[in-house]
Amino acid sequence: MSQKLISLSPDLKQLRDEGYEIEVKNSAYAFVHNVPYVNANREIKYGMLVSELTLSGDITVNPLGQHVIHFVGEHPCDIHGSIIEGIRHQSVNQELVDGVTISHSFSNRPPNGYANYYDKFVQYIKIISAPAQALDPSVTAQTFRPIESDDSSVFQYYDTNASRANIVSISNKLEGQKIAIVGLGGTGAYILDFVAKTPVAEIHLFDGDEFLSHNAFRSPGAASKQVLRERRNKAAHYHSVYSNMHKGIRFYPEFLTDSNIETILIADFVFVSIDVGSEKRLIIETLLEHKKPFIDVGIGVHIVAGSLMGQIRVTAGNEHKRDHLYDRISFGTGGDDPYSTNIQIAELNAMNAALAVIRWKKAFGFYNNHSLEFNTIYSTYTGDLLNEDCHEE
Amino acid sequence: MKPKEEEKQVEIIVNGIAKLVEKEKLSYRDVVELEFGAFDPSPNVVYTVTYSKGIHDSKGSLVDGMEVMVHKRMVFHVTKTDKS
Repeated sequence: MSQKLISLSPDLKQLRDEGYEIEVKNSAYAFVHNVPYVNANREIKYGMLVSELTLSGDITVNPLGQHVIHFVGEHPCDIHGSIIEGIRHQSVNQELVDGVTISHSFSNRPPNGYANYYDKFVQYIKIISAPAQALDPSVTAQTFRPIESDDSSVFQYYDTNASRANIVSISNKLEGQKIAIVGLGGTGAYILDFVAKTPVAEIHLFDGDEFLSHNAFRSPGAASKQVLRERRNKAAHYHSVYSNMHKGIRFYPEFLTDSNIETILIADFVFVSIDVGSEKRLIIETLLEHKKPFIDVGIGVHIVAGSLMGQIRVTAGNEHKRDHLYDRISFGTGGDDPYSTNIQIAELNAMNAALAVIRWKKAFGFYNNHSLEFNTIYSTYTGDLLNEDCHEE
Repeated sequence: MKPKEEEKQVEIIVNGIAKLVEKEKLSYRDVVELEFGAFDPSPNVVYTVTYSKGIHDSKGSLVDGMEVMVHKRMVFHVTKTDKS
């Protein structure tokens, strides 16, 4: 089945956008699955409408020559169980395509025929589903069921968020990239949460730590006690969760050191979301040496008079803009610093991740980029969002 | 304290605490010292220093080597930003 084909034709796309289970086979037939109807026993059943499809250059030809539609199921009836005579056409078992055997054909021709396949399907759906909806108002052909994505897609199911909003071509600017996320603490996990919803080719997860209760309180989702008892490796845990949605996730249950640092070079773009200064320095220096763009993130929160005060930082770097990095990023060890705290709050981790992902998407034209910032700081205290170290991408 | 001397000082707020400072420029290192009492010269350690409500309602950040003119009730926020 080809979602691309459906996307090309406004009438088929409208059916998909409105939650009908539209499918196209062999570029010759369009199906709408799970259309509720009433059978002769006054039971609610679900059938499939099938229409011949005429395409020109992969786009539907409108208006339609053929007003007859086929059906797989019993003959639809009214609420009393009597066949809907107004649409009755033929009842013959006939294999149309790939094991799809139609049982009935219906005929309902508006005075000027059907302008397009949307009008045709919706008209027949109205006729055969109306009795079912009279018996049970909750039934509908607009199921919004997840749609199988094409085999070539990185998603487990079709991205109807992008298609319904008509931003597929913008979303596709992110296609093909290999992303790495180093460190899957709160912020790294939220970065994954956002990146997993983009059509990047691969997402490589690096973390040698275990996923524990304190992580759960600053990470996306709601981990079960069972998961926490398993003390899973963080990278492995997030690989298993986010593979529900994205097919390109790989994981490495290890920290990056001199002995394995070259592994990071698999990525085209790297999010660095770790605390340890020495590991951070090794990663950033390696990325600069190999001209790989990256974004480093970090938060700092402390207590003043019984309330919290936090700053969030996003620092981007690439081969053209690197002179700000050592002024912005701390490579200290943290542990031996008496002023160091490890207060982290989920929404601050999430905001740090969101700002980082927005910045990454700006670099690839997903968002308009006017500000050209390579350093962003948000303070919960002043409320300011500062964009500085500006430079062409 | 004589009124004349008072005019040379100005109240600013650093991490939520009011502080009286000389009415002159404050550097990145000065702000870190005001908050932590001392500046760690280790090149590995970087603080994120931001200010708001400066002269003409200016706002921005300071990195090592930069300074900014203080202003009455100017607000500074200084932390490391190294947790993830």
